[in-house]
Amino acid sequence: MVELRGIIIDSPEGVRRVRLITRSERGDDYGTLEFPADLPLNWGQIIKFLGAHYGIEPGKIVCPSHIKIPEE
Amino acid sequence: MADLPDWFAASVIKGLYGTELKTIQVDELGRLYAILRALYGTTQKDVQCDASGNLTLNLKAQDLSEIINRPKYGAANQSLFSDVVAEGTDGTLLNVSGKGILYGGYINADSLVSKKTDYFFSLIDGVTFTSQTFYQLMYHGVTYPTSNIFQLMLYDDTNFKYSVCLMSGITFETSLKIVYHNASASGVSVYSKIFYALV
Repeated sequence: MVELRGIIIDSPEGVRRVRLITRSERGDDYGTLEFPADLPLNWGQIIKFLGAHYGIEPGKIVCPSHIKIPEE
Repeated sequence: MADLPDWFAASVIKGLYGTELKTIQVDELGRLYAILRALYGTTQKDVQCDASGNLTLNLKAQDLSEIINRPKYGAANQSLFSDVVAEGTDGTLLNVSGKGILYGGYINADSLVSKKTDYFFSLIDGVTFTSQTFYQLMYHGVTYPTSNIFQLMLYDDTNFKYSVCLMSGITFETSLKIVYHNASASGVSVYSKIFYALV
């Protein structure tokens, strides 16, 4: 089980960057993943990306309701 | 036992209640239940649960000398912005969805003309907090921590260099956004580094 804990958008060197913050089921093992720039930022792509990265089924990825895709 | 094969032997388990033998029973699914009892002094009491079947734990009853506890700090992060913010537009320096705490950070603005009317705003959990302009921050001496979300560190309206830092300790439950507003008629080079943690 992996839980999404944040979506961050910033712009180092003038280039838009999206990062996803995750944590393990245990709760103290955080990870920061750079979301591919060529993918559209939506829930389908986020779940697919996390599933492929961690090698788990979509049902094992938890997205808390307070996490929204930031409006740009 | 008519529905069982003739070689099947059924057993009945019995337990002693004082000197009397009682048959141990199961529910309709064959599950054997036990009632937990605990001693209160010399009296036996049933251990009870709530409506969801959860047993509650009373730490006080354990006479602990102390309980050590700490807040969840979360994962530390920094976000960078380095770009030109065009005249009359907003540059989003940081856009976060999540729960966390702002550690601090700084924003530098560098231009060929005066930027004293430029300002910032932050959206914390969707609520907008607008700062004063560079000039107003300088005029009112907004340089102390906690006086404003943005505190002035550098105001050089001769070489057109300006800098602010961010108040630390601001918590957010759903989102944090930091924006630079270029209110003047030319572009400005903005560089920022913002430190925070997501829980």
